[in-house]
Amino acid sequence: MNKKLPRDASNLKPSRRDFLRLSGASMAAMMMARYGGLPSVFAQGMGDIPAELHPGSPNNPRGWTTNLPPIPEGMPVDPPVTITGSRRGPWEFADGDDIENTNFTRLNAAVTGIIWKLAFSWTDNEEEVLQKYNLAIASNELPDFMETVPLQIYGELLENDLVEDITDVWDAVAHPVWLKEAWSFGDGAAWQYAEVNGRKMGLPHTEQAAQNDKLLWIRQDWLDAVGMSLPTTIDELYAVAKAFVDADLGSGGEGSTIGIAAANNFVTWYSSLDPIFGAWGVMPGSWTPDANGDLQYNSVLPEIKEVLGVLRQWYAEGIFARDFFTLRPPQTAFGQIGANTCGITMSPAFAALFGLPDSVTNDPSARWTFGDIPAGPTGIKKKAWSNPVVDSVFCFRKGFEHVDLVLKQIGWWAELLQNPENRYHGFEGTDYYWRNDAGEVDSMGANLDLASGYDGNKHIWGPPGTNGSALTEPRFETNWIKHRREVWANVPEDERDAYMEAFLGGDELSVMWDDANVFAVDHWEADGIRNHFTTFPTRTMERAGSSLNDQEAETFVNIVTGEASLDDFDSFVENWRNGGGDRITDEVNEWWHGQI
Amino acid sequence: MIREQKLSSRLFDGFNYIFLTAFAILCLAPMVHIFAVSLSGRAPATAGFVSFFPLDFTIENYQEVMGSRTFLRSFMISVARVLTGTSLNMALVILTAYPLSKTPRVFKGRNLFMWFFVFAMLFDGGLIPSFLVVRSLGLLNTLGSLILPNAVPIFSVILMMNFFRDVPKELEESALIDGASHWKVLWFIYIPLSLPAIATLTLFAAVNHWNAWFDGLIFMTDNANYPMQTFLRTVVVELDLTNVGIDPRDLQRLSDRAIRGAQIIVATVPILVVYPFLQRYFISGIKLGAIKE
Repeated sequence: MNKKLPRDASNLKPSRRDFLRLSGASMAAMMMARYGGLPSVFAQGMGDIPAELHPGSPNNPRGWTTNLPPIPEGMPVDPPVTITGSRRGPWEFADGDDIENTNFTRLNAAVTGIIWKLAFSWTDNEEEVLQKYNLAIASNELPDFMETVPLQIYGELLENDLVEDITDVWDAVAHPVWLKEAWSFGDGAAWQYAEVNGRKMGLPHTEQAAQNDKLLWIRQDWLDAVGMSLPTTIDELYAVAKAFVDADLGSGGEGSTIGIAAANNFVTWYSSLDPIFGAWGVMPGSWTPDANGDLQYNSVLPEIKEVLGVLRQWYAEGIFARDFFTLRPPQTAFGQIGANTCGITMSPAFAALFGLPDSVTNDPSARWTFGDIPAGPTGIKKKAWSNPVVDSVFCFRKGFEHVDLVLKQIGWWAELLQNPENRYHGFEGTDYYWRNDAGEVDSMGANLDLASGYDGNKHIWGPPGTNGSALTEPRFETNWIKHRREVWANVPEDERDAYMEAFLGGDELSVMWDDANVFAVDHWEADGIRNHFTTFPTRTMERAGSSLNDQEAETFVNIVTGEASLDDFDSFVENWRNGGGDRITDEVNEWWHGQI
Repeated sequence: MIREQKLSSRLFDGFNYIFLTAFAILCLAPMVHIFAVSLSGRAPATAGFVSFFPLDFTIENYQEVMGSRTFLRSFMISVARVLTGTSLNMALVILTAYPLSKTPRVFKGRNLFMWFFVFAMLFDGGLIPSFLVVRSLGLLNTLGSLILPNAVPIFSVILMMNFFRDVPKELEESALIDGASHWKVLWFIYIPLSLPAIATLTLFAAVNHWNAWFDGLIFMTDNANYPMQTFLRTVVVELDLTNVGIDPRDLQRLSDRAIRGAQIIVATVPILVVYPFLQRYFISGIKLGAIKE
């Protein structure tokens, strides 16, 4: 995909369009294959969308044209249909706009004939969303379309038969590429909540793939200082960490250097130790199939004891902070990585945006690099698989008649936004602004709403199917990065439009973020240890699960810190099995075998 | 003997001073810390380097806060709420307390009304019935939903009523003999004599309105209409990302401590400014009316 196509020197310089076609040949072929056999539902013409509703900037000197996908059959519906929905927020709007009236909703109304009314909205606060849905249920006023319904509420709705079964409509009208194919990853993993007893009761809520998959982030300047190279095995990782600590390279007080950043949970989203467990092929807290095809709880396997033994030795030698078990993950990002007392963290790709920038700000000489997670003594190299399916569901009110319209709309927007070929970059004047003289796009600064703490991209507030609701394609971000690098990068510099120019290159950390993102997604399905138990908690879990988990966490931390002996692991396993673990295993396997 | 007593009492005073000073500093410390954070650069603030003095001094955070439409809108909603809500509260408190301060002989059925109010003070309908009532009245997403449900703060009515009872009866009687109506008596005798109590209760009402966040959460179905404390709460509560997908928006939220510091300071200042003006009434006001004859 990445190699440059040979160019015949005798040819005239190809135009930008030729070049796009040439260099994007492989991508184009892929797209052709995808769209070749679309059913007639999607083969309709463009219709008459007034020019002022179009996204993109075709008339600017270095602008671009956004291609609108074909309008779904039967749309726009006439007369227009009003649909109520619940939405996440808050976002800022352009002057005179509000949630029911934005560039998005105006274009959407022209394309689909749907007019969206806000039933209620909330911010990302967990308690708040429950509150709002509970009020809606209690007052018997459910919106037609319910965005990111938390599982607890979703269960309640299902129990009371308040959710529309959309299976048949889905089969008939869902977009074959941007909905059906996008949600086909991981043997139906996308549908773990949205599908109940083989019937689709809603749409999955998916996020970026490999979002929490760990990479080994390490200080290159420290590696240089101790004359070592990027570790590829657990032993090398230990040697490097030890060298960092011994050389006391951190910028805190004397002896304050920490080898590897760790947090209050061994398996977590930042400064995690899951790749170390993975190097022995196990993952605490996960259920994986054993040799007989039964699911087994990893935390009680003998390999865990080996890993705890290793971590215990490392802790004794000062590799981890003395108080690591009290730190929440963001505290390691700011207090250790950002504060430059630690040069190694096993964190996701977004570490390049979170933690590392503070490190570089606080110490401009800091140079970071990343590599693959280290391999264990037997060569195993695994990490916790991050499931892009979030534990909430989009669903429809029982008796709602226009599920087909909403599905068509979501498919249309997903195609517009997620197919890089369409060149969708938002609407001029709200999502980006045109700088007069330099002709460059101010892609971020002008609409960055730091005060509310949100990236104020107003386009986020589009109707269902736009980024604000959720992505449908979990590799969305990665596809964009690849497209920029494989297609745009080959466009000669003087022929690039302003957007291409703004998004090619970038500072060291943002380039590293792109690299890390692509790397993580490429290793996503192969290197992940997936938790195969993907349904609601079992009865015994609900009753005894939290006390068993507490016991587990406490025992593991005590073993690592030396409070307890390594052999306490055996009595923990014993307690776990007798305290409900065996029953949980039976229940889990009952579900597991019923699945197949 | 006497000297010894003096010494011990001096020791006691000294200890008291030290203890109270330490306690005052302890109360002030978080505020000073947040103030320092709000004036610091983003990187040292998020790394947790800032204690009581700003690092990388900047007023950028305040510029950001004042330039944010979301924040300013919620701020203005809160200001409107305090102004209208407090006036309404005080008007109703005075109008309710005056008749209730009369004896049952003057005001027939006074005890029945009193019980009615006390009952409403002790028991309320609960969250969902309140929501249903507000919704049926068409008040969702309006300022009315924030000020009408608690328009009569009954506890304040009882304080006010007891204060009115302390006003010497002779004053009222002489006014009545001169032919004044109850309106005139209230306006020219009771209110001027009760200014300390009115100031105190006004402060209570204003602070309550300023700090209230839960009703905003419930009655504003569109979060564009959140009053400031509701808005702040959604911004300041720390996220637990262990089980949630990471969104760059959320990362932003985790790393903008300095901005949040500035928001908290901006939200606190108006009420800090009001305090000194009402403070002198506040101290004498709260104990007045507490003792009945």
